[in-house]
This record gives sequence, C-alpha cells and structure tokens, in this order.
Amino acid sequence: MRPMLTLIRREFTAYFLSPIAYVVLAVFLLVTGHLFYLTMTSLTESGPRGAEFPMQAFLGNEWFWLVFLFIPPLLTMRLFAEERGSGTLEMLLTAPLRDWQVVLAKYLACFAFYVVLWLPTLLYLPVLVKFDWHTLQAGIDPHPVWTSYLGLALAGAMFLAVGLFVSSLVRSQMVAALISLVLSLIFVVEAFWPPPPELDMDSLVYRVLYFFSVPLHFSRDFTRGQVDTRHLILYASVALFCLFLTVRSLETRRWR
Amino acid sequence: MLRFLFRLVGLAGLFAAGVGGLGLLALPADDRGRWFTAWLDVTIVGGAVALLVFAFELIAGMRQSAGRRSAAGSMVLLQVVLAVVLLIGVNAFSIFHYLRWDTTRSQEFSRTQPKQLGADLAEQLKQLRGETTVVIYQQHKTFGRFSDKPPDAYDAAADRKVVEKVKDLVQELREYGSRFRVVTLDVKEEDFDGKLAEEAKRFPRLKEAVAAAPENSIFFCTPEHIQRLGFSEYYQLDKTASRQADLDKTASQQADHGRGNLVLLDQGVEPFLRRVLAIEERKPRIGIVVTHPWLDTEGPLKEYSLSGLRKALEHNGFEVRDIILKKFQGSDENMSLETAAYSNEESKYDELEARVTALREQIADVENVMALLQILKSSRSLDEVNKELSTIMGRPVTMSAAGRRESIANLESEVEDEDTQRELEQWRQRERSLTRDLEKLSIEERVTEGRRQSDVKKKMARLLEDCDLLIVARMTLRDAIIRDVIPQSLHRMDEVQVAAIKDYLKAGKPVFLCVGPTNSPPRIPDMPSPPQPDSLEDLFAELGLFLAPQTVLFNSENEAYAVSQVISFGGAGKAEIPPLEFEDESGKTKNGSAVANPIAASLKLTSRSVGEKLDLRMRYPRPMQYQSLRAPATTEPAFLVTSPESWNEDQPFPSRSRLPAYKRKKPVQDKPSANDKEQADPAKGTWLERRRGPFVVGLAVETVTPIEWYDERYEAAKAAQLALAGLQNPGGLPLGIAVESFQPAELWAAGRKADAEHSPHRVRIAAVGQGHWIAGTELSPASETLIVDTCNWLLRRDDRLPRAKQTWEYPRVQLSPRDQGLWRWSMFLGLPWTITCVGLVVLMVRRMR
Repeated sequence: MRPMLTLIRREFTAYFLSPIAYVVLAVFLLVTGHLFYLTMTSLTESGPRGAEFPMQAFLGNEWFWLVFLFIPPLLTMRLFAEERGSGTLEMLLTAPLRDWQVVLAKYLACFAFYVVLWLPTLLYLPVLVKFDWHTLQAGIDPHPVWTSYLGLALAGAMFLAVGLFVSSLVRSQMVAALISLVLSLIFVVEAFWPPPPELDMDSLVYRVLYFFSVPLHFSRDFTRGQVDTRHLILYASVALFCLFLTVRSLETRRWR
Repeated sequence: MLRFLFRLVGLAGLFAAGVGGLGLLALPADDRGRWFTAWLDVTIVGGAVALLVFAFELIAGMRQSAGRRSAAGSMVLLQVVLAVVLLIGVNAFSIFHYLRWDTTRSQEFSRTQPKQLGADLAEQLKQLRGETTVVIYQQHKTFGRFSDKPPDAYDAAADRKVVEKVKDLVQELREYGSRFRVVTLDVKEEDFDGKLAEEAKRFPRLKEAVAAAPENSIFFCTPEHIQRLGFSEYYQLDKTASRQADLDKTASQQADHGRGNLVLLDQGVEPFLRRVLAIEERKPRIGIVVTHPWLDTEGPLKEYSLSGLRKALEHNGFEVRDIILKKFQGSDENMSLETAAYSNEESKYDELEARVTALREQIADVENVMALLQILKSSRSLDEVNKELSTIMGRPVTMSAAGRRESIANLESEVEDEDTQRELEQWRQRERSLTRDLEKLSIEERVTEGRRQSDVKKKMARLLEDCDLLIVARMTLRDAIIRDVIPQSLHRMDEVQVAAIKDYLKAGKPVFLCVGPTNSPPRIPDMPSPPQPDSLEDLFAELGLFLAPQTVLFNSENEAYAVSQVISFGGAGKAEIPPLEFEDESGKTKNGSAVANPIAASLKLTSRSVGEKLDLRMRYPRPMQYQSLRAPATTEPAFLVTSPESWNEDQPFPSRSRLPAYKRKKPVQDKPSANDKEQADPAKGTWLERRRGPFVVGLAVETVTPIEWYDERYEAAKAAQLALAGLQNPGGLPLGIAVESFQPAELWAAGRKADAEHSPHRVRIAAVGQGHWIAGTELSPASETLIVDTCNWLLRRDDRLPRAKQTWEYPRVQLSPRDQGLWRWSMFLGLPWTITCVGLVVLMVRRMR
C-alpha cells in the first residue's frame, strides 16, 4: 500500500511542478469565474428575469462544456504516454507494484488534481445558495449544489478514466490528448449541437441522446437537484471499464 | 489483397448502415410507411455485413494472438469481451430499472408522486395507456381578452416559464410508463401553419380549438376529443406581485433598480392531470333559460341576444343549450303568449317551417297565375276557357274575347318577364335549401321528441335532464329614464316550469340566476308591474336566497335624472356608475364565516394577476341576501357588492312629480309631523329598509335542499309549529325559514328512512341581481371572467378557479452594488490571477533550485 501511496503523492505533486497545472487551473477558474459572474447577474436581476436553479445557469453554458472537454485530456495525456515516450514506464513497472496499483495510483492522483481544480469554486457557494452567515441557513435550495458536485465528480471520473486508457495506448502526449478529446466528445457533443426543440422527448433519438449526453444530464437532472441512477451507473461503469482496459493494456507489454 | 477487399466490404457495410440510419432519422412523419422499410433494410443489411467482418477480424485476431503470443493473450481478449458485455448489460439493465431521487427542498419534481398527489389520482395515472399528445399553443396572449395590449416582458417571461414547467410535468408523467408526445405551436414561428396543418391531420378538431382559444393554451388531444387548459390554469402570472417584488428590500438595492421578479401562482398539477385523465369526458352542458328566442344565445338583436355569453362559455370548454319558456304568436293586440319549453333547435324548426310555408305560398301564387295564362293562351274556345276558369275560381266567369286578350297581356307582363322568372327560380332554390335544412332538423331526436311532447313539465324536465347547470337569464330594466324595460311579467314562469326547476334542484344540480329588478314603470297599462315576486323567486327563497323588489341606484345617477327633467330622454345612459367590488378575500367576511367567497377570491386574484382592476359595472342591479337556518353558509355568500355611494329604490323611474333620490334621515323628533309619517319607510327595521349602500348584488352559496321538498309530512309539521308559534318571527327571518328553529330539519331527516334520491342534497346556487350584464355579442373581459368562474364553482370544479396557495418566483440574492462588484471581479479575475501568481512563484523557486 505504501508504494502505491508514494506513487499517488509523486504523481499528484508532479502536476504542481509543471506549468500545465497552473495554466489549466487559471483558465478553468477564469471560465468558471465568468460563468459565476453571469449567474450572479441572474440572481441579482431586476424584472422578470432570473435563474430558477443557479447551478443550471452556472453549468448549463456551452463555454463550460468546451473547457470541461479539454480538461481531462490535458490532465491525463502525460500519465502513461510521457512515461512511455521517455522510457520510464519499464522502470515503473519493475517497482513492487501490481499493474492495477500503478493504474489506480495514477488515476487517483489525477482525480485528486481534478478535485483540487474544483475546490476554489466552493468560494462561489455563499452567493449561489444565498448563505446567511447569521442564521447559517441557505436562502436558495442548496441540494442542487451537492447533486451538481456529485455529478461533476462522477462525470470527471469517467472522462479521466477514458483519458488514462488512451494515454496507456500511445507514446505521444498530443495524440493521447486528441484521441481522448474525440472520445469524450461523444458524451459532450450535445452541448454544442443541441437537439431541435421540437424533438419529442419520448422519441428513441432523444432517449439515446439523453442516455449518453452528459450536458443533458446536468441541465435536466444534477443541476436541478435530481439524481438518476442511470447516469451514475453510466459514469461508474465506463470509468471502471476504462480502468480495466488500462490495466489490461499495461499487461500486454508483458507478453508482447 | 483478399483481406483488403474483405475489410473494404465491411467498411462499405458500415457506411451503408450509417446512411440508412440517417435516412431513418431524416424521414418526415407522413412518409414513414413508404420509406421506413427501405431505409431499415439498408441499415440492417449494412450493419450485418459490418458486424460479420468485425466478427471475422476479431476471430482472426484471437487466433493470431493465441498462436503468436500465448494463452494469456486470448484470456485478455476474452476478459475484454466479457467486460464489454458487462458494460452493455449493466447499462441496459439500468435504463429499464432505474431510480430517481428528487432532492429539492420543495420536491419540485415529485409533484405527480402518490405522496403529493394522492393515491387515487396516482392510481388512475398508472392505468393510463396509449399515447397522449400534448399541444402547447403559444399565441403570446396570457390573459385572454384582458390583454388587448401587446404582451409585456412579464407576459413573455411567464410564457417561457410555463412552457418549461409543462415539459417538466410531462416528463414526470412519463415516469408512470405512459407515452406522451409534446408538440409546441408558436404563432411567431415561421412554420406555424405547416405544423398546425400537420397536427390537424391527426386531430381534426385541433384547428377549430386553436382558433377558439382565447389565450396561450395546452391541448390534450385524441382523434375524437380535445381538452383545453389555459396556461393560467397551470401557472398564473401575478403581474401585480411581479412588479412589486423586492420593493421592501434595502434602499441600496432600490437605488440599483433591483425590483421586480417573475411571480407565478402555482395552481397545482390537478387541473392538468384531470385533463389528461379525462380527455374523452364530455363538456359540461349549460342550459340557458329565457322567455323569447330574441333573448337567447342566437337572438338576432345585438343588444338583447346572449351570443356573447355563448361564445365566452364555449371558448372556456362548456356546451350551451337554450331553453325557451314562452311561445309568442301573432302580433300587436292579437299576440298570444303560451307557456312552453323548447330548445333553440325547435325554435329554428318552427322558424324554418314558417319560412318554407311562406315561400311555397309565394311560388304557388306565381305558378297559379302561370297556369291561368296557359289556359287563356290555349287554343280552346272562349266558352271552354270560361268554363275551366269558373271551375278553378269557384265562381262563374264570363270573359269576352277582348277581355281574354287584355288578361293575357296583363298576366304576361306580370309573370313572363325576365325578373319574375329569375325571382321565381330564386324562390324555388331557397325553398329547396330551406326544406333540406328542415329535413335535417326533423331527424334530430331532440327536435322530433320535443315536438311530439305536449306536456310542458315533462318537456322542460327532458330539456333540463342533460344540463349540468342552469342559467336563468332575465333581462329587465335597462334604462329607467327612457323606460327601456322588459317587464317582469314577460319573464314570469308558469307553475309547471317552476316545478321542473324545483325537480332539477332537488337532484342537487346547480342554478345561476341572473335576474334584473322587478320594478316596472307605473304607467304601462297593458303590463302592470307584478306586486309580488314570481314563484321562481319564491322557490329560491326556500333555499334562503332572497331577492329584493328594489333597484339599486347610484349617487352619480342623480344628475342624469335631473337632466331628464329638462330634456326629453336627456341623461339616458350617461351616468358614470362606479364599478362593483368583490368581497374581501382576507377573511373579513360579512357573514362571519371563516372562509372568503371562492368566486370573489378568484376574481380578486385575477384582478391582481392581470395587474389592473376588474372593471365590472352594473347599472340598476337588484339587492339580495342569503338567510338560512338550514345550512349556514360555510363560505361568505356575497361576492358582488355595490359601491357605498348608492341607495335602494322602490321606484327607480323618474316622473314629472318625482325624481328618485335618497332622502337623508331627519334627526329624531319628539312628535313626528304628518308629512314625516306619510314618508315613513314601511320596511324600516327589515333588510328592505331604505338605506345607503353598499348592497349585495351577487351571491353564491352551497346550501341544502329543504326536506319538505321530499317529504310532505315535514311541511305539515312545520305548519303546525307555525300555528303554535303564533306567527312570531324569531330573528327577523322569513317565517317559512324561521319556524325551522322550532322543528329543525336535521332532526326530522335523522328520524326518517329514505333513499338518496328522496333525501336532501347539497346544492350550489348563485345569483346576480341584473340580467343584461351577460347580454350582447361580446362580453367584457371582467364579465367573461365572472361568468366562467361562477359556472366552474357551481359545477364543483373548484380546482379551475385561480388559487394563490403557492407562489413561484426566481430566487434573488440581495447584495449592495459594492458587494456585487467585489464578488464579481474577485471571482472572475481575482482567483485566476492568484493562481497564475502562485504558479509563477513555484516555477521561479524551482528554477532557483
């Protein structure tokens, strides 16, 4: 267990030792800050405008999904591809760790950074839930906030797992990022290419779209305080499947 | 090479499957039958080829790996395949077996769950089968005819929000397993007509329903039936509250113009669900009782017809049937007035029959003349002609040859010219068309049965039988100055007609009286004013509803009366009367009942929602009151009240010697003069005492039908008690009711055994003391709201009255402009800048090392 923890620590600190982490963090916070700006404007509007669910306004913007789409590939592209490119992967595999421990350690480190990425956004919450410091009560329903963060954590876990798997397949970080970007796009494309409003929600096309489309899960469910097991199972199963494939991908090196 | 070709075939199959899939997606709905199979074949064949090639490649790969690497390689492949199967299987299972948790504070998305909805409705929803089409029709008109002005920002925002809410609710309903198809028709969309035509193919009545919809509506469609729900019946915009929202916030916020919100009054999901569950339910039928076809809903004279009432009721989902109570025959002094009961169709039948008869006579006249002409022009001798003419005319005719020539010339000029021939042809065509209409009507069961039935009571009972609500419309006093009045005697019902209405009430069915004052000008010799109310009013008095034989006049009418003294007909219709008030909905009720009148509350709410006062004015209304020991009103009975600047008048008609005016009471004198005694009010101390307003002119109560209507023995017992009481009148109540304090009906009822049909029923009744507020070709928006709300309440459709139990509004955060600026910029730029700086410091430190 200790070597695994060491590996997690190493991988996690590695993020902060390279400029990429700060660039990603800064860009991410710039975009979410802008979305917070817009959401706050809705919450302080005059007249018949506003946001019924502040988290929906916050996470329902296509700019958010554009940035979100790039983050997992950026975080995962180097995990195995860099090691493979620089030839340190063999060294890593000789460490007293099983393949699954290597994969899990890298994945957890990456996921930890992803969590760190989101931590500053907790600063927005006093406004988004209209927190009263005297009574310690939220004036706006806080439940959609935690369901949104739950959704973000699980969706992030899925996208990171996809990125990790792709990274385990190729040598070039750039190629890894591009491939995982394309794969992630399958789950996010609806944000940029929304279905026509007249599309019947009972139709097969919409149902399929609803099953795969992460932005739709957020706009309809997580940001409105809804938790649906279908989404949770999709995220968890794809994440586990990709982690399994990554382990198997590492294993192939042994018998190649 | 072979491998390459094989893979190429596989790719071609994949391409074909993709094209087929796209073709399927792109198919227009009406072409499905023709093209669906073709595209499906392409997809299946292409997909099958691709799968075959993929399977082959997989097997080849496995063989290769097993051969070249090791058994472990095959195991990995197998594991991967199993993992894929597991991934698909788990997700497929989750699609059909999923759970949803609604974590919102208000359980916003669980409104159709049995906990919130009630087990009954939830069970009915579970039973729902087949597909329901929900058409959301946006004509960008929120308050029907209230909104003549273009919609403002609040209306537009409310429109959008309601559409969202409807879609959310439908999504919730899908969880019950039923299929819902939602179609949005927006008049502002370019393809609105096309989409409407498309839907009209499936639902032929949709076009008609859309055209009649007074406001943004939701239609629930099946091929045979359509139910409408106004947007405001689901979420009603409260414009007043929307505009005033946040006014009580901090001064700093007001300085920032931080006011206003979108406030919607949540009407609950029940009205929506009831429409879904009862798409095929028949519309409630309202019978409108009038005395003359001119006063019915298809009457020819604009100001007397109730066509506006029919339109308003039909637009709001009711069916209307006229019931006419009198047959007027002849004219002037020969006019006879016969008690009757017939429907509009029968009236139309009579009218058509009369027209056809008249036309046939006209045609026969001309044809007779033509026949005569033929005889005269024939080659027969003069004697023969004279003989035939004598036979036809029934008297001896002797015509000379010159006379014959002259007659021919005269008749030729009369019937053989082009105009006469054209006219004759037109008459014949019209006669044929009218005969066709007559035949159509004559095969209608209602008409034939009605004409066959001669017993008025039975006939009336038959007409009332399938009416769910009865409106008795009695237009009387229209203008006292010019004496524009339909005398009460014309409206008075026969005993058998009243008996039929009594039976209707006995069955617990509701009645709405719209009856004007009974005062008639004193100098109409033929039609003297009735000294007492008629038996219909007596019938309602038994239910506790008393109509005063008075008219309410307003202070502002004094001037008009004064003008009429100096100019003939001067001042007629010119007085600006104040609008009526609705009873307070905040619990301050006159009757002491805890609950406000539901109609008054609904009207006040509508007024608040529209953002303007409901301008409901009634000239010459009639005061009324509710008094009953039998069933004390559970809600405040009054819902329409005049302004205090009014008084009750026994004789509202001005004459040379007298102008109606309110005489202030003089201070009490020890010895009243003879004049004072003469002017003393005989009704002093009773509810009919002359006084200043306000007066109740609209009542709506739920009461119990008297037990003596079902059991004559109770009537006798009451009479005995009355005799014993020595004609005392406890509590100032009318004797018939007051005597029940000695012999309570409940005790009597408890001691007798009777089936439901012969037991008292709870019945809803309403009355408005004026008849012509519902007349005309168009009802004012306020009148339309009043009539629709009253009808819904009478029909126990309380869920259709606007409610303000729950409000919805956008959440707001109150921050001073300074705080807003700090939050905005610190989060938008401050945080990224901090991270950038930290990053730079870390990099610099690393470089230093």
